[in-house]
Amino acid sequence: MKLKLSPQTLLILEAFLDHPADWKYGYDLSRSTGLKSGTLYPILMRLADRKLLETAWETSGPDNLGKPPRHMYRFTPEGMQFAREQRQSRAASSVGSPVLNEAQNLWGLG
Amino acid sequence: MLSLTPAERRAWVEAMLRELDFIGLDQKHGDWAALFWALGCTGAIFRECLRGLGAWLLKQCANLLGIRPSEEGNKMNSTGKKTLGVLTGIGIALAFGVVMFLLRNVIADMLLAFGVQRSTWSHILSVILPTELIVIGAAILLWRRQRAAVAIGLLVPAALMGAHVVVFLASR
Repeated sequence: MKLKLSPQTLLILEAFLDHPADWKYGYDLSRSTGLKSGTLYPILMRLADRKLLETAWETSGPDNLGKPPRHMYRFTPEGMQFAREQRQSRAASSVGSPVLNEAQNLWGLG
Repeated sequence: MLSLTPAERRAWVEAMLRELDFIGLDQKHGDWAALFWALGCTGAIFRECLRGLGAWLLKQCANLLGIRPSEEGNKMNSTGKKTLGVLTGIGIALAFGVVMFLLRNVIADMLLAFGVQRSTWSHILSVILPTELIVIGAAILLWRRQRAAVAIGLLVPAALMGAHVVVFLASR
């Protein structure tokens, strides 16, 4: 799947991976990732366009009676698989780094 | 803002507005958070509108040029995309060149205020050279951002202009 994985996109994927089955709100995602709304929403739109996220409007219940419904987001099964694959590939690519750093220190290159 | 948004993005604008309502209702987040949220959302919506407009323009250009979308995913094939990218680059470079050409008298008058007389060299150094450098700089930036087709499109008129100047100077 062709998707530009900027550091901000990776932050959002990680935020969703924390509790993948839970619905999340835009403002909560903004607070947990530290991203501003102007950065967050375009990324959410791209992820939803690529069917990695599913969106829904909050249904009114006793807790939120009288409040306007909010838009919620969570991973689709494809999105969850994609995010896990990305996490694994990044973990695999960073495995060599400590060894490389140690070797650089040994040889006085660090 | 909602009425100006492309139809496929209306739900997202609604979502941003509802979130803003929530931040406004919640006293602990404060009005400043709501203000910055609204500003960020406005920027995001504006960029989406521009993106929609750009996609529409590209589609119209593709229709004019007879480039058909590929069957899968209703997206243009890579040759069509590259062609459009190169044509876009050429168009941008030519538009920028025309603007600089129209500004040449203003630049010459400004140089005159600093005591630089109007000459072939002053024209080359104050109009053509900066235009070339800006276009080449933009092409390098676009190349680094994986927009090679547009970068090539930018470089084509720049190279022709450069060759024209070299031939002109050599003939003198």
